Amino acid sequence: MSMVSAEQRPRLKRRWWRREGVQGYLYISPWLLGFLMFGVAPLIAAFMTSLSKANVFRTIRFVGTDNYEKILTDDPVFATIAGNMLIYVIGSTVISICLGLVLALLLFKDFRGNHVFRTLIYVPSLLVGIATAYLFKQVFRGGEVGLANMFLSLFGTEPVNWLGDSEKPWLALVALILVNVWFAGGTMLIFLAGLKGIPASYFEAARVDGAGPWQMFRKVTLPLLSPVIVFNTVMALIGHIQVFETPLAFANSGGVATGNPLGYENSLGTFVTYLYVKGFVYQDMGYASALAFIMFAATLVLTGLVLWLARRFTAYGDADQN
Amino acid sequence: MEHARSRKSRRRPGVVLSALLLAASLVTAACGSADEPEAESGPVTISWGWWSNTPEKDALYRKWLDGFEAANPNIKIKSEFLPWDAYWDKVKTTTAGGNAYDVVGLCSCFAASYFDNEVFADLKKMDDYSGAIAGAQPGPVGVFGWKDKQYAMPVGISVPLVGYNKDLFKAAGVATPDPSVPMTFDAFKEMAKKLTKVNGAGKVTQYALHPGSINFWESLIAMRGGSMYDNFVSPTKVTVNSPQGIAGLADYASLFTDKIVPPIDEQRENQWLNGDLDSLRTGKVAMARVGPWNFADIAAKSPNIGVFPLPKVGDSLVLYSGANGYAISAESEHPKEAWQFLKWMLKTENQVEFAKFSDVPVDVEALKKLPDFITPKEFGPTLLASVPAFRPGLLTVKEELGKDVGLIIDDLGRGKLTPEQAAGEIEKKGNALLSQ
Repeated sequence: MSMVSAEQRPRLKRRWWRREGVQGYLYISPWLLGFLMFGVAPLIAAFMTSLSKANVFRTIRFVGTDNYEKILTDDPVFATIAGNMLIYVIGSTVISICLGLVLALLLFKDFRGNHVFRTLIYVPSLLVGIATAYLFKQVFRGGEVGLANMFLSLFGTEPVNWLGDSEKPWLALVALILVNVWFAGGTMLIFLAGLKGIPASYFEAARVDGAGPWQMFRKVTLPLLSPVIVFNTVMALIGHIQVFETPLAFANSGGVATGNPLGYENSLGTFVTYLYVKGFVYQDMGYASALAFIMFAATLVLTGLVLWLARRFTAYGDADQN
Repeated sequence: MEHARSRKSRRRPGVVLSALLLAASLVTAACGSADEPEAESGPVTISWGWWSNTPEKDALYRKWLDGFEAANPNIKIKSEFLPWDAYWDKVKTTTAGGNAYDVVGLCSCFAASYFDNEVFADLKKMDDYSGAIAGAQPGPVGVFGWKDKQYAMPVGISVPLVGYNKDLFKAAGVATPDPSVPMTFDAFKEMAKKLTKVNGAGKVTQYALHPGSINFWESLIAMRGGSMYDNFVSPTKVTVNSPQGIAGLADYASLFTDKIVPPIDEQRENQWLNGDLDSLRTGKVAMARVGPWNFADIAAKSPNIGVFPLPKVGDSLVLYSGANGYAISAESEHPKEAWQFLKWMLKTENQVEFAKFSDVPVDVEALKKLPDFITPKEFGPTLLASVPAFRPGLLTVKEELGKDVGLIIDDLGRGKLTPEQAAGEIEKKGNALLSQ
């Protein structure tokens, strides 16, 4: 039994159309549909897969949290990789932030040609990851032909087998961290934007008060740049956790089908390369999906940790106004 | 103001409708097929995939497919050749996604998972299956059988030979090896030692052999009377840890200690390239694996490369390698046409044409004719001497097994493990994996 008369129906319909919420959702519906289909649905499917024994072709059976338990308690490869990631993420983030900041401070100065240097330093970071990976594979080539070894030979150092030394497999991880020097232009650009946002009057006032360059950096630049530092740190952290092409290229001289795609004794294994190997080389999709969620959790925890630590040192403009 | 807002509101349903249409069109576009349906009267196009060796070989392969099209005007083949890794990535993902090639080129080395997951059509259910395989050697056909089903049909077998650089042999004063009688492993090593060159500073400038993709240790273990596994097809147990197995591993390790092959870490660094024909062409490697798939390329570009059989131990010659073939996707919309192609490729005359540029034919009659058509002609005796030694390589759904074994073998080559330790390690890791 309907309580709405025939006369009332068109009015209700009009009222429904006029509700801004409904219209708003309809306007964004193309994106929303895409997000649900290509974002949420695969996420749910991946989570279900992580609770299963599954290969690329089919789900074999439901195994509950077995995959998670095995990864966290009984997988020595994952333990090695977690250690690698800790070193890699810290080392790379330090390079990205410190080098980016130093470059930004240098190129913030007003001198002839600074735009050229900014461009020259920024453009390499736009290069496709796999291209950079193969470029650096040549840089870190063993023997006397690699660029890194040629540089070291200037100081009389013997050639280093960066990527293939089974006695010192950690060298490959060092090379992997050093690659991030190439991408410092990205963080530099954001720091430059941040520096431009600091009013010149602050520096002027500090100078009048007798502050030197170091004091101005410590007492003016650093506090006012702190939100940008936090932003860059979080973005760099997330990016480094997802590193994929470079370690895979470094680990495989003869292609995935031959050598160990995680490097000698898994020294070049990262979360994503391990996920790739488990999922697409060994076809254990359930395990790979569980790895993906653990990686997500690790990213969330690390990001939360950075944001929590940053609260003490970050000066947001809004807080000052209050 | 109120009036203006109500006018705007009246216009909104039209805009909203446009948004809905846009969304609907996006969804339709996303879900719809990219290919237009073919007219019923026209020829049927089947998709076909294989890995690429060289542009020259790919061109010859395509010419062979043109032969099928000429014989079957109602079927067209849309062929695709991809580099090795890219090809397997594509086969894996498209098979999982249900849109694999109609005819999937397959190497026995990666076939097990596909078979076990039943993603290919069972060829035994196809029309005139018995007639189609009547002329084929049962061994290679058996390689593609799985649990009473036949998921693929072999087109050829990869028989590895030793390719050698005639110029480097001549420069070292080493006599040309007999092309049809395998030499003993000890004689091979004595010869090889003369082909490794060391400069005044003690640095090796030329290696005798690049082992590349020869799983030489498996052959050596078998020739010593042992075996890596209880069965190379679906093994249940690793059996390498025996006196014979350890002897085979010791033979393999001696190739490194005697500096016959480049150190493992240098192989990874690519100074001697990755093995096979490319390494031979560097002029720094005297011997490497080649096979009939390289013959056309050698004939066209490298007349200074000769072949001889891999060495034997005692009277035993065993060569573990792969069989190559075709499967029909279980999701194929044109299984009959795909099967038509499989039947065509198994016919003697088409096997002969195939063998001229690729693998050893599986058809018995075509194999008999091999000395008549193989180019370069002088490679025929070597091939015929090696074919009986062919054994299918490892076929297992436990894909980690081959890799883990390979990594332990690498450590044996590095001298980090003794043959006894390597055998123990392989047994421990392998059996743990196989029991899961």
